[in-house]
Amino acid sequence: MASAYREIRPPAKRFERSCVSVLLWFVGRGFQAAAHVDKHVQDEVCGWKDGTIIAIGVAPCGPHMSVRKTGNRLRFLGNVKAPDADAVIEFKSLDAALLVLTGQIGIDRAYAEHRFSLKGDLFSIGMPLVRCLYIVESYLFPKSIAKKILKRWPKRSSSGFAVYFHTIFGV
Amino acid sequence: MIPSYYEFINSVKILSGKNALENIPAELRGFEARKPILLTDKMLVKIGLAQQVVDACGGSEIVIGAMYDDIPPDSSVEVVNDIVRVYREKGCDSVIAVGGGSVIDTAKGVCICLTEGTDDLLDHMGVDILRRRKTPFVVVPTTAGTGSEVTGVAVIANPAKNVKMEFVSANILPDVAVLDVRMTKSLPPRLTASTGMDALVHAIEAYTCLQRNPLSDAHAHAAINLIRKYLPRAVRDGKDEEARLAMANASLLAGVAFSNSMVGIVHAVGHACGGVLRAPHGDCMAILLPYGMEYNLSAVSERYAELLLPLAGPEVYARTSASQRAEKSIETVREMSAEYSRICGLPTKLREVGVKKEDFSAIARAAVNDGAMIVNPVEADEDDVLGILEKAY
Repeated sequence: MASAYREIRPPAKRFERSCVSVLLWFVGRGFQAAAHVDKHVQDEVCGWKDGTIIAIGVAPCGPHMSVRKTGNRLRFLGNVKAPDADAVIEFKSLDAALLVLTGQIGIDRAYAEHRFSLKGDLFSIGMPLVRCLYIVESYLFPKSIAKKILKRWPKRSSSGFAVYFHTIFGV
Repeated sequence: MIPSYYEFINSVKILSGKNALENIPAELRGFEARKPILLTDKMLVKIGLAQQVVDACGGSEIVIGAMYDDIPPDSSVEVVNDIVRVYREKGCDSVIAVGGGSVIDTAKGVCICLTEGTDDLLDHMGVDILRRRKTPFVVVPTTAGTGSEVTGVAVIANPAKNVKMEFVSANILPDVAVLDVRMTKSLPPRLTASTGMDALVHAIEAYTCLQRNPLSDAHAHAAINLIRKYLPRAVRDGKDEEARLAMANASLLAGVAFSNSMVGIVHAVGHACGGVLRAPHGDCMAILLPYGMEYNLSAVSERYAELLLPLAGPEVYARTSASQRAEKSIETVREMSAEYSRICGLPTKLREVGVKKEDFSAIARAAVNDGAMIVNPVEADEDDVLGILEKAY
């Protein structure tokens, strides 16, 4: 009789997966661009040792992106989860990632709601990374959305145009 | 306002009251454990508290595999790794932690290493990444303040970086917390006040941080009520068993609250003072609390207004106009600190605990990198922290 109960495979959520993948590409390129043009992002990143790799993605095998610190810059490594990442932020689901990546909730709210895990040194990498993401969000999201999800408007030293230009065309 | 989403966990079994210690063997039996390692510190061995736990296990099948008492006031990754080595050498099968926050956090670090099968705690730093603990884990707190017996947080010093590292996961919650007044009766008044104020800070910050939720609120509210009623009694008369047990419960309630809601800027700055200068944690909490509340006032004034009821009692709450309750809560906290300063010498300024102005920038830098800062209701940068330090100095 057990055969009467068939195995059910939940939907693959290909659309959400694609959206997250594209949005992570923007975050990675935006992070690289912000580190290129914004002094405050550079100040946060300069404390990381050369070669530090940050990966952000969806656990366990969803889309990811990685950036590596090289000199005073960040280099986008593509939509991959670098195996030797020093810090990994992984959203617990595609939907959790979408909440953050579409500006419905901020990083701090996502942390408070346990929407992601963070592997690595919270003190020397995690907190500067969070502050960098505040700045990147302020550049990439429309101001009305960014103001809603940020506790305070971060200090910035560049323009949204410059960050968008370098996000799309590279640094 | 109810959060659009929240998570809450407290899986710890609580044994509270008369002869609670004597039930430890029965609890270990439930886990089929019979050879625990007992973690404590030299002071607790000297004053006989560790031996009381050993005696309470008498007449049972329990054998204490080893009593490790080399845990310093600020535990470190090296100590954790050393304990793991002893645990394995002696063939232990469970952990009993008898002590304050440092001993309990060290024990959590040991459990992480044992579960993950590693000798290096540094590999497992982070938030929500740990696997479910395998080692049976009993905690007997000897202070009423840290709440570590029910928190999924471990703070362990990293001497190489001169900071305290944070491990956050529900999977490091102990199995059993044992609240027995025999463990806290000998605490001197000054330490009773300091640890009690630490519990108060846990409850107030849990009630006002971004991660707060209805269940953490209920625990925080209940904790503050008990602290208002019983901390003065416990400070004035350490032998008052009802007050001691109530404070042990208040500390536990505040611990459950902040384990599920986190703490904020007071802890971020306090951790930094401890990490940079080894300033006593409870003292820093008592000193920094009113200044941290002032900093957050604009964002959470309604929450502070609500807290006036448990902080000051129904009479004060009723006769204070609604618009003044938030400020009155801060004033009440100041009065509590001043009262304990008068009774037992609790410090009220940072300079009294060895903080120097030349250390401010290092403290501010460490504070903004503390994980507690993420959920503080108001964003803070180094300049903001420097402002708080100046006021609290």
